[in-house]
Order: sequence, then structure tokens, then C-alpha cells
Amino acid sequence: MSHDPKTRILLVDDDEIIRIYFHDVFWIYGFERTCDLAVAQNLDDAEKAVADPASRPDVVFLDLAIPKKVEDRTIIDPENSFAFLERIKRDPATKDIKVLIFSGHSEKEFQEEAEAKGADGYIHKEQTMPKDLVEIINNVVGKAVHP
Amino acid sequence: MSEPIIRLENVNFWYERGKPNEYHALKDVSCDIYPGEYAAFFGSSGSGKTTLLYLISGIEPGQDGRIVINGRDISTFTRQELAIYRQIGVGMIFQQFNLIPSLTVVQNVILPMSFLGVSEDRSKREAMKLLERVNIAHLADRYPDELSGGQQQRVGIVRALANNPPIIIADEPLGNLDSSNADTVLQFLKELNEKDGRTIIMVTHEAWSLRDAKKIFYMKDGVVTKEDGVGEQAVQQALSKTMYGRLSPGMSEHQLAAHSFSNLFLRGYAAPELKRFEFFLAQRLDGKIDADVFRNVLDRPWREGGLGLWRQKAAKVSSIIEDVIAERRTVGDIYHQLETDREAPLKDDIEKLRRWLLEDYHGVLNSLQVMQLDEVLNERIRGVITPEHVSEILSLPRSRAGLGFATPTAHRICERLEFILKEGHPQLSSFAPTAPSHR
Repeated sequence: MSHDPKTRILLVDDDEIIRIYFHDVFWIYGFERTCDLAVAQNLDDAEKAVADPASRPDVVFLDLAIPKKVEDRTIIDPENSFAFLERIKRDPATKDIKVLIFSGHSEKEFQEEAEAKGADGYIHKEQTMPKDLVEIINNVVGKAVHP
Repeated sequence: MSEPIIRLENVNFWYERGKPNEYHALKDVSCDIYPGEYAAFFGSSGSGKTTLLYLISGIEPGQDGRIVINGRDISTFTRQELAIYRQIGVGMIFQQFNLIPSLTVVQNVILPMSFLGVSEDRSKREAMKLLERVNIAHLADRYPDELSGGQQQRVGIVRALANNPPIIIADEPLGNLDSSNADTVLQFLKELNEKDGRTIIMVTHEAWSLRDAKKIFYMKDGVVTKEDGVGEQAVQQALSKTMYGRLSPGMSEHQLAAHSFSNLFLRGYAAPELKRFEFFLAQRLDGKIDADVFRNVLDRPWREGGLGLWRQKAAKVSSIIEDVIAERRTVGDIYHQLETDREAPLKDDIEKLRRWLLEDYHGVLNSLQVMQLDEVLNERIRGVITPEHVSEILSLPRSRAGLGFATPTAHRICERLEFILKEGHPQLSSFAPTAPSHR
């Protein structure tokens, strides 16, 4: 009998508090039994995780305002995250990865751009209580076990 | 069976560790609590139960042993990890409510949500839903000092639920509540356990508050001495006769009765007062002092070696004890009566007394003046200060740490206070005139 593999989730966020918060939600609500959570604090690490079939996630939670080093400057531009989203959705090897934008920005143009580029959902951080996050993870995983 | 949600493995904890006044508060404590359980740590003050709660909730960092929550040892967590665990993993309910006085009810509830970056409008919607659940949504814009003790504790519970934690930890949550409010809180904890499936952990020294717990850990001197699963049986029935015997196997029957009565008669009093009461009660039950001496001890001011109970309470307590001695009633009868018709905690008595004393006062006291007045009443009831002191403090200007009442007002309040302490008042149950019958 084959064993159902764990769902692989990647959180891409430069904010350490958000990364700990995610980890804690996975732990407290028992998602660790059904999911493997990896975190990346920048887009370069996220690209590597997606590119490698051994670490490729099933679901990505993607922040929009992630600082990126360009030469000597640090630039925070949502377009970097959108470009990453586009690359995932264009590549036949990665296009089935669910990408959920997880952002502090609720502007309509960002939501429209995310949708146009193939995002599977848009979550506004400020409107998301821990119980909402649990429900969202439950929906994408579909088999989490509550404590 | 599922894995425990909380597992303690050989937990030790010291206060002032390595110093001359080092105190070993927890000694090799191990226990398991499973998801959805309603567990209680039961023991007298100083037994280590609150320290244990603080370790489980991450308020106090671990020192020795493992504190495993849902499979992870939180004693290895960083401060940030612990801070977030405290926001989403556990909700704390405190005896003193711990509300922030400068914030309104709804702002107090929103606070844990803002820590996680949730917007004010979303937090407020969520907070109002929770306040509605405990029927206090209409008090959302009030400040804590405008609420009764029972209402404040409901706010405390709602705040603990703000981020929907699966574990609720209650530290002596009923100690400052009257009988009816204590029942409401117990009922709500039961609902959170049975309907919401949350794991409830309560620490208490009051046996009657264990009525809905399904598992009890008995604690004494930093050690879990026994663990009981009580199933459907009412806990107080299981405990009434044996609980203190289990905790204190060397005590005589009279000492046990004195120990259990002291917690029921003197709710909200401090440990030294409980100990003194227990000592004299055991002396009386053993026949070493007579009824008059016992009654005088209860009534006499604390600094003169007495308990400083006001006259009506002293008379009531001594009358009940004389019934036991004359074998008109058994220890079990009295225990059962006090469990079902509990003494109001001291804080409540003082609040009622203050409201009555200020009935015809048309000025407005700020929260600091209310606290000062309560302190004065507390000290007068116990005989720590004289009527003259009371009058002086009431009329001293606020710049000199007084209450700032006009002299005639201060005299009137003082007269009313002395009257009620001597004669009682039929509308204030705790200060009812001394009567031969019991409550």
C-alpha cells in the first residue's frame, strides 16, 4: 500500500515574526503531521527551492514586499514577487504549484495583477486571524489534523 | 490514544537559583495532558501549581526538564518563538483579571490580535463577536474600573480567546468572584471544553471549583503527589472527604477539618491569615480553647494576634463551628453547605460596602481614589486602623495621599462604616446583623 506523501509548503517572507508565526500555526494545529513547511527569507532562496525537484513545494505562500539586492542597493518592489510567480506558472515543471499571495497590501491593482499572473489566491495579512490561516491551510492541504 | 498536547518530563524549577535564598518550587514534575481534556492542578498556596502554569504557558522560561507542547519542547524556544506561542497557542485567564485600566473593554480584547498584525477593524469585529458570546457586548466602550468583578473576569476570558488558542490556562480564575459569577465562569470553561474542544487547565486551591475537571493533579511542596481521572463523577463529591487527607496524610481529623474550612470561610484572604485561622480553629475543635476565646480571636485585630474579621462574620463562623462541636451538624454537612453556598471573597465584600457607603455621595471618584478607599475599608474591617485614622485619611487632601473628601462627608462615611461594622446591615449579606441562625 502506497503512503500518502506530506504536502510541501514554502513560505517566502522576509519578516521573521511572520515566519515564526507560520511555524507556530503549523505546530500548534498539528499540520506538521501532514505537511512539511519550508521557509525562505528572500526570493533567491525561494527560486532555488522551486527549481530543485527534491525540494519543490506543492504550495507557496508568497509575500509581495520582499527586499532584493540589486548591485549595491536593496530594492523592495512587488514586481520581483510577481516575476517569480510568473516564472512558476510558465514553467511546465512548476506550473501546478499553488501560489497564494500573502501580503500586507490590499490594493486592488495588486490583486488584479496577481490574478492575471496566475496566483491561486490573495490573502491580506491584516484581515487574517490565526483561525483564518488554519482554514486556508486546511483548504490547500485538505488533510490537516487538529490538536 | 492520541499524543499528549502537554507533556512535562522531570521538570524542576528554582527561584533565586544559586543564591542563599534559593527556593526549589517544582521537583521532578512529570505529567501528561491530552487534547480536549479539562485538567486541574489542585493544592494549597506555595505548592508550585502557578509556577507550573507559567512554565506551560511560556511566561517563565524552563530551567530543567522538558516541557513538550504538541511534540515540541518549548524550553528550547527563543524569546520571539515563546512570544508568538503565547499569542496563538495558549490563552491565560488570571485571578486578578490583569486588564489594562487605561484601555476600554474592546481595546483590551483587541490587544493580542494587534500583536499579530491584524487590522483594527477586523480585530474589533472579532472582539465584538466574542463579547457577545459572554453577554457583555454592551460594555465594550467601558473601562475596566467601571465593571463589576464578574464582568471584568468575562473580559479576561474573552481576551484569552482572542487568537483562538487551543489551550486555555486559568490561574485561580474564581478567587475574586462571588458565587453566581464563579458559577458563570465555570459554566463557560465547561462550554469551551465540551463544545469548542479546547484543552482547559486550571489551578485552584478551592475544591468546589473542580466540579467539571476530568483529571486532577494533586500538588504539595512542588511535587505532584497523585493524579486522578474522575470521569463522570462530580469532583467535589469525590474530593470532599479525602482531598486534604491525600495532600496532608499526617494531619489529624480536626486539623484536616480546620484546613479545609479555612479555605472556604476566608476566600480571598492571604496565606498568613489562613494559617492563623486554621491554627485557632484546630485548637477549638480539639477543645483547647473555649467558644468565647475562639470568637474573640476571630474578632480581634490582626496586629493584636487575632484574625480581624468583622463582628458579623466572626459570629457566623463561630456559630457554625459550635454546631459542629455540639454535634448538631457534621463536618461533612458544613463542608457541603459552604461548597454550594459559598462565602463571598473579601474583595467583593469591600466593593459592596464601598457602594453602600457612597450611596448618597454625589461626587465622582477616580479609579485611584476607589482603590485607596477600598484599601482603607479593608484595613478598618481587619482592625488594622482605628475609626479616627479612617476619618483622617478620608478628609486629607489628595496631595497628601488622602481621599480628599470634605470633612462633613468624611465624618458621615466614617459614621456609617462604624455603624455597619457594629450593627450590620440587612441589605448587605456579608454584613448582615448577627443572628442565631446560619445563612
